Amino acid sequence: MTRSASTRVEAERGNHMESFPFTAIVGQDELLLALSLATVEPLLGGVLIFGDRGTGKSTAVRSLASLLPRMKVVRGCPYRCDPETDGAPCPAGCGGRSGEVEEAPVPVVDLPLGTTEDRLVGSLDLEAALARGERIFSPGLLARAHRGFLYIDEVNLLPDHLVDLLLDVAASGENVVEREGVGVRHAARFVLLGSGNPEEGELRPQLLDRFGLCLEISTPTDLATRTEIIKRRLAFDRDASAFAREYAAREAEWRARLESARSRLRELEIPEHVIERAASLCQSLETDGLRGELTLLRAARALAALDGDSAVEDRHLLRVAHLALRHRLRRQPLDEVGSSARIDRVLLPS
Amino acid sequence: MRIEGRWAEVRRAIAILAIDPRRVGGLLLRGRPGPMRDLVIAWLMRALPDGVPLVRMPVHITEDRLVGGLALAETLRHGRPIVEPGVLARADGGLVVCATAERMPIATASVVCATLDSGEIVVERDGLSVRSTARIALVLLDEGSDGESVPASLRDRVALDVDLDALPILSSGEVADLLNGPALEAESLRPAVMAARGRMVSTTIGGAALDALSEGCVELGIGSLRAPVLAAHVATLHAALEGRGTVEADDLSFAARLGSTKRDPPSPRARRNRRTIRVIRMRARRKARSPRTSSSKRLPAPSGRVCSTDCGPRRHARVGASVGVTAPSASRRRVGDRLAYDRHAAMPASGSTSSRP
Repeated sequence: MTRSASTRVEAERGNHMESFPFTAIVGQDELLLALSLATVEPLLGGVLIFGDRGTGKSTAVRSLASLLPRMKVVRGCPYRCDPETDGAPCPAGCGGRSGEVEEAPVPVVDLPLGTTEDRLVGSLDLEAALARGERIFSPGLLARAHRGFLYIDEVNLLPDHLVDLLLDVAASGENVVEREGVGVRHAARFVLLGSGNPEEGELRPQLLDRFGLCLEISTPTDLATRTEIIKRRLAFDRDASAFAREYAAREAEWRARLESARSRLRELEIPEHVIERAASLCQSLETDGLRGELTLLRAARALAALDGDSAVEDRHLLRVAHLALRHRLRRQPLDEVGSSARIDRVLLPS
Repeated sequence: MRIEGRWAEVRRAIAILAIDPRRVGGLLLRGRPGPMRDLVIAWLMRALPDGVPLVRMPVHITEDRLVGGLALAETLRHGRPIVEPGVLARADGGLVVCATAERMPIATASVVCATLDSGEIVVERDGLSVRSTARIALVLLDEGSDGESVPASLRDRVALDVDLDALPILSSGEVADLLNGPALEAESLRPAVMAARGRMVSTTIGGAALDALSEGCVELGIGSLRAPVLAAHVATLHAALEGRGTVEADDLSFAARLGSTKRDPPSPRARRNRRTIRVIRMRARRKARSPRTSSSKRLPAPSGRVCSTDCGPRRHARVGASVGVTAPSASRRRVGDRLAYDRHAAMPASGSTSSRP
């Protein structure tokens, strides 16, 4: 087994800076909802957050990490194979179902700016090659994000060749590496989280489509909310761990809510009339393909699970419609109205 | 000569940056290169405690030099991966000086911003996967003209803003005098900085002061929430510098004058700045019920007050006004030397690089 540089990064996470508590975030309810839905239903396809500077985009994503429930993995497997479902052969030969089981944190992996392709997909283990003349594969960020989240800040600045790679792996759930004399394939299923400032560049439509939910956030304009945010931020800056302790109970509560929603999700039926409503909604908005409907329904079901409701209803659909559809509308060059307003027009016919 | 008025404020801004660079984020220094800009940077270097690195970053730095990468020659020689730290990692615990920041590509600015926010740099390139601390603050040198301006994401993250063009002009002779003259007043910054470092933990900012900052920003249409947060930090550090235990109207007023609330495009800027100051000062007066205390520890005499030596600030400040600010000088070259690139220090990666499975 290789003990390459990537293991080192995991180990160093321990003394990572304290992150701002998720439940202490004020005035970004839609953002917290979107991240929670993506956690409850990984099949949603992640969240894309567009917003101005200083809106707390990355703060929210980073604070999500500490809320995530732990997952079961095959003991010692560098790819963190799922002992229950992963039937695919593991490059490390971990044994899948027959292996011993341990618990591990759900990874939230950052794709740092300046990342090169070799580290995204994985590459020849340089150290092993140089020191011992061995040809060993060193897993990349995609392997590290398997069964967790891959967060790309400034996603609209990501170089094209990395976008292509991501799209391919995100669609297939598998990372196929053929480079530097190593040929490896491993499972890489992750939830994409992206954030960016729309002023700094457009996002390619193929990548935009890949994200399940999309939000456009701005800084709150309400004075009381703004002042509260400033006060909490300063309190956090002054003593991060004291601040975290203050919110520990609320964090635990939210974590429990996420966990119970996850376990109830698959039991929730989606009634026929809700499916029809979703279809007609997408039809009137002329969204491309079926991904819109599917995402809308999955998001509605995740919301019902999160709220502890026993059935998926129209109201769930309406609450997630903006999140699920606003980035799927066809551009209408002559229509001055934004996509959110167009959804409103269909949702609330006057 | 003595330092007064707006220059005294600049010195206090520098002291504030030196007290807690991480909290302040940095300084936007606008104006053409010249003795006055050199003076500000020289003051900063003298205000910083020993051992604080000051690393200069050229604007078109390549990605591998910025974040670091594989040191190929050393890697081959030692037979194991050796990390060549980038500029950001080498500046850990200190300041990164970005020359001609108004021309910085968005991609570079984004890396710098991410490092500012997280205090670390993650290298995922050339087969390396290394995380190292990079607790940096910035000095953004902005020579912007013709509508160029420093990327907004960077400006949003630095708390202090000094516009050299708005300051009384100093000749290169005066600058040299300030740096090396018999008064050596420049040297007095460091003790004040060290004293304020000790005090800052116990310096507080009241709810009323925060309300004033928050309201002032809303009134001025400043959307970003970093602006009031940074202004609060500046006000708190200013109070610590002045020997006060709590932020008062003076501190808020300083934060408004040299702080992050100045966030406007060049043309209406001057007008808006005056409004910023007025609005925040007004709000501060209204909010702060506590009477202003005059402190004997006050460092330089602020403008408008009578100087104990009766030096007459305006008279001195205007001497040599005709000297071009871009004229090279001995002091400028010296500052340039001190700012010269840090040596490329190839160092082995953290111990575990060499560990064996």
